[in-house]
Amino acid sequence: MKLILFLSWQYLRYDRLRTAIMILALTTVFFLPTLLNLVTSVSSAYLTGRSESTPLVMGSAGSSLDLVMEALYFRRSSADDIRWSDIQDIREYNLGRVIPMHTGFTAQAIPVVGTTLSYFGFRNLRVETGRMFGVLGECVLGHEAAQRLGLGVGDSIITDSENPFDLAGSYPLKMRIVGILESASSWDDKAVFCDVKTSWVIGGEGHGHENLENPDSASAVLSREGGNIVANASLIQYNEITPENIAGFHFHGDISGFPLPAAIVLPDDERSQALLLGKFADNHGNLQLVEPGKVILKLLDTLFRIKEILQSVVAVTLTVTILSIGFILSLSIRLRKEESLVLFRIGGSRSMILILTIVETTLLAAAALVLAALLLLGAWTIRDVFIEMLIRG
Amino acid sequence: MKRLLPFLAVPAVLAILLVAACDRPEPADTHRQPAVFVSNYPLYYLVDRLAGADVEIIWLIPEGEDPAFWSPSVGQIQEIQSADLLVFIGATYEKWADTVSLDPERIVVTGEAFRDRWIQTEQQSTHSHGPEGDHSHGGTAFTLWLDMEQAVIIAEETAGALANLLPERQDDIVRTLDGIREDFGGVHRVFLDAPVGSRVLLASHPVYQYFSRSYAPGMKSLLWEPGLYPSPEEWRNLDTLAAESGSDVMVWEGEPLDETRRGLEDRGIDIIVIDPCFNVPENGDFLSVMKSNAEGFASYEKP
Repeated sequence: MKLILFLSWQYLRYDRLRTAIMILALTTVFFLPTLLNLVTSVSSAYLTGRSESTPLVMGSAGSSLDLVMEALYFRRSSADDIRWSDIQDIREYNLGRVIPMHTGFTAQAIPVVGTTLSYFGFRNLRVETGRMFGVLGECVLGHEAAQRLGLGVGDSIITDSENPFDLAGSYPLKMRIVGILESASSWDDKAVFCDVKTSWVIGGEGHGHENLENPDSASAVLSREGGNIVANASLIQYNEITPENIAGFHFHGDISGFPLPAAIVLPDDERSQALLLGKFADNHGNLQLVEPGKVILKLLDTLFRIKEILQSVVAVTLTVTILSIGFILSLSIRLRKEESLVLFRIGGSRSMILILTIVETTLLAAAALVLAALLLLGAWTIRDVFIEMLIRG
Repeated sequence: MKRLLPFLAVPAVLAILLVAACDRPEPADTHRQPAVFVSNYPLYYLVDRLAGADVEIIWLIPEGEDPAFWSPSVGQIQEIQSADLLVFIGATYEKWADTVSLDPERIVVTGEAFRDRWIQTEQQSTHSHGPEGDHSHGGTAFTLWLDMEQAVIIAEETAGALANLLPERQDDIVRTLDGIREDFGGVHRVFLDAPVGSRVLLASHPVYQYFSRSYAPGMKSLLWEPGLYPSPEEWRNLDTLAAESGSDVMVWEGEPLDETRRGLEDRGIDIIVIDPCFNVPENGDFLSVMKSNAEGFASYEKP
């Protein structure tokens, strides 16, 4: 047997190009279908887990998938915002709790999520170091976000400017990092969290500036009419909220009209959930209340349909590949006819020549299997990239 | 890889169970009383009377400080965030809450029930006194509880929130609320029947808007502090206001300084103390202070 192995190995080494082609072809046969299964099963497990743990999501009428992706995966959508009063209205039904989700802003390309303290209890997120945000301008970082940015408690993070050429738009806000969350192995690890009111400051609904009643600020006053003071463009707005200037921060207008991309609704029980869905089915023209589990199931249906199509394509490819391998094998047996004759003449039996061919093929298959396994392992380690590609779109 | 999973799963499950057993926290204290934060003393009184034995009241306002101009430290914010229920007055009373991260679903704004009756005041200049520094009384008048009918609504809202928090104590809370209604109603009637209410009164500080609306229409307000002697300009303002209104009675939050009292007596202006009871009183409680206010108001007669 040693002799057969030696001869097979020597032959494979001798015809390296053929060996390489055969290994690659066999690797494709093993790797492709398994990769397809891996991607779909990992994505479906990830999406299903988070969506099933979120009973209801509320947002403006439109694409339910966009709404779910916004509330669960902080993916910015082009849908209209709802108003703070909308979540106050749903609270008045007394059928459950409502958690605002202000998404859309980023800081160093990491999503900034404005919410309330309820969110952390709901997702079972705990502070690993530092503390929970306490006042305007403070934030906590998800575990992965902190690692990726190399930031910790006591550091600051500046929000990304939405449009640097829009002078009247929102200005970047320097937020103080007061806590880092424990790893939750979920999408929450990849975000920056702050109070929803801080998000409104980032969005321009609230701001802070010097006191216009102060004589030192006279140069920034354009006009005074009764109690109304109009400031000119020289008024300096604070881009960081500190204990010294926090009293100068305020919101303009009625807070009930402030924007909110989405809200998570946690009904008290199944009956409350059914009642809420019923109320929204009846008359909430510009709003929608959706069950993320069902929305994601629809997405997965599509994903599985795509998988089926891909499987058909892969099946055709594999058939062609297997036929090619067979063709190469039979061709090589023909080409090695003289070589086989020499073996026969020096005492090798027919069965030995057959075993030699089988062992060569087995070695090739084993090498291809190892290579496919390594590739799968690589794919497994970067599975988050697949998920990010799928979620971020 | 899939074939390996069953072999990997057994040690993995064992490891998870082991880690879970090691990390398991101590059993939670199931007897911990719910914590209730209150933003001023009248609310403290109500929560204490309605469910004091069943809740832990978080009281953070330092002695002598006006809660309307107080703001919590970082440590206090964490304590407030840990409360199961936060009872607020509303009407911009808790200005500090605008910049603090709180769970809106745990907050009960007791004055919200009669929001349409909130009084908007004209913006006034800022002034400084006490540890809280500069402040202004402009915006929305916030001493809602000085109208005892409104105080009853505040008590009802507080009772409702406590009953939700302590469903098993609902009957006791309702019974206590009936007693509060009766007590506050009695004080309300005394204020209402006071003869002095029909006169034009001067107020030392702009905190009597709701009191004035219910019990003393036409009250004119100044911006004086009981612990500070008024400046010459403030005396001139008083003289002008007294001459214009024909008033010779001034309502104070507390006893003024002796020199101030003498200055007023020289002008023939009498003093009535109506203590808004923002903070814990030196003697008695909210009800006894309000009763004392009412008795003083009702028994006033121009010598």
